[in-house]
Amino acid sequence: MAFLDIKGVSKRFGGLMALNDVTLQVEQGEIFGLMGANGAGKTTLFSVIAGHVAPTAGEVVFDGTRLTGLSPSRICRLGLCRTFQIVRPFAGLTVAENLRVAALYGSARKLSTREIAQVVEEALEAVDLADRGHLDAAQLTLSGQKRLEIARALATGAKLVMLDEVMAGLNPTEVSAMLDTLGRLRTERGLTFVIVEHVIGALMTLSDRILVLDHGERIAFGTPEEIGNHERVAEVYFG
Amino acid sequence: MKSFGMIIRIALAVFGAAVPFIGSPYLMGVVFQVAMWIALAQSWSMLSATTGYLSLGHAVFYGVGAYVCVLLTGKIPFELALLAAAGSAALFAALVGMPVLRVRGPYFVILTYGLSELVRHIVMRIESALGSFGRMIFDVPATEVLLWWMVGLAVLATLGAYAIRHSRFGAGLAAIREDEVAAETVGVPVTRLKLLAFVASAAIPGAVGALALLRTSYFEPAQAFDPVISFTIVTMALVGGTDTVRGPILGAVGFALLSELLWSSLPQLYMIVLGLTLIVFILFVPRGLSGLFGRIGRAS
Ligand SMILES: Nc1ncnc2c1ncn2[C@@H]1O[C@H](COP(=O)(O)OP(=O)(O)O)[C@@H](O)[C@H]1O
Ligand SMILES: [Mg+2]
Repeated sequence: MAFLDIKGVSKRFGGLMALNDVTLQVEQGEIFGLMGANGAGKTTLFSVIAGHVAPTAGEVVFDGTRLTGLSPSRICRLGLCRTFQIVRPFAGLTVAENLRVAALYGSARKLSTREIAQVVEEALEAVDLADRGHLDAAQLTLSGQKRLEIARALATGAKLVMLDEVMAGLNPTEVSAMLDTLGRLRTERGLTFVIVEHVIGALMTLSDRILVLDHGERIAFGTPEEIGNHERVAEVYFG
Repeated sequence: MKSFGMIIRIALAVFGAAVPFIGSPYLMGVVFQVAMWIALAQSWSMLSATTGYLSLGHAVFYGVGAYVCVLLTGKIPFELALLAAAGSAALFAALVGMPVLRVRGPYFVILTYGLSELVRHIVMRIESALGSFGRMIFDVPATEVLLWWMVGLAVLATLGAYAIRHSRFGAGLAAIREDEVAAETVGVPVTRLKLLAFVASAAIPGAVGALALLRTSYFEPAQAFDPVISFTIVTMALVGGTDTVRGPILGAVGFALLSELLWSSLPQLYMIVLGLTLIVFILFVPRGLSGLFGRIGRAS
């Protein structure tokens, strides 16, 4: 059975089908790319998976547990955490405190004080914020806050991390550094990622497989090369 | 750790100053008042300073404690009545907490105020239906006993507030204050933690209400659930500062002393001063006396 199994998920907002019968499987250890124009339903899919939005139909199974109906905090403790496209730092807390909360509450098992300090440290280093731990999160630049989003998700000890346009706002050097970091986390810690990105180049480089959504529906699925040569994707993206 | 040392010092100073005067009814009265407001403001901070859910209805817990105590007093030992008062206030918070904590910001402020007023009117109705227009209590414990219990509650509330702030629980509450959705996303069980904080902040005010009732040996619903109690708590805590545990102590001591000076001679002036100070602090000293002292301390 797949690590993350999304079965026929639909989400209706009033008259709008934000997601229409979306099915996909993410395997453990892979980097799964999610593409689609603005309003395609990518963020909504993350919200459904993470428990912030109840699907109109369908269900989500993660690591053998049915997530549908569980609270986001339960889902996080099961090992699945998302970031927010529009960042949501704990603005009045320091960067390190942001991560400490995630370490204290995010993991399934209760960590010792030392383990927590270590998790915080590792998360800071992973996103290159090691020298910013003492700053208030509000003092970070947007790029810093995007990286804090990633670090906070990592600090929960999640096995599957969903990143929602975290590279937007990063300059090309920062993007390639972030790609290295994510690749390393996958190989060293066996983390699984589902990534939404507008920087298509980054997505193509990083992803093992890519799913393309359009108006809430799957229109293409495959390896980066297959997606690059796909007719309908070209239509949607390049007109 | 530094602010904790400060608390100990303030507490010691207050009691040290008070001890020689125990026996003087006037000073015992002042210390009783100061301890009472510290206990109330500190309890309030367990919910409101940590989560940012500003309760304007803490009089309801004080009132519930007083009411339970008046119903039980004479029937069970005094200590048990106190425990029952605290327990009932906590239980009441647990029952109403779920729906009340669903709203936040100004809605929470108004809802807690409205709830407190609602309960006040219900109790007033019940009492008048029973043909009771205020109940006298006989056979109350000695003033010294009540005083030491109240001082004990002030210390307990301060230690409790300190412990919460420096615990895993407190870290979760701070995350809730900053961003509830993000907190939930990184594993903080938001609903449960908010409810626990609400219950924790209700218990001691219940016992405080019982002690205050025994001190006056007279129960009257309009007084026991007086919304001025809620206003005073909020003002003290905000003026003192909500960033550290010493804030509510500074605010409570300051206002209790101010009220001693003004209340007996010029009660209207006291309310005006209370209101004006609150406005001035919210506008110009958002971190309260505690923040002000901290700044002066650092500058020197
Ligand atoms: N809470 C909501 N209420 C109503 N409509 C929403 C809500 N969230 C998203 N939508 C709509 O659903 C569609 C998909 O949005 P979203 O998932 O944010 O797209 P993407 O992340 O792919 O850009 C959009 O048309 C958006 O306006
Ligand atoms: Mg989006």
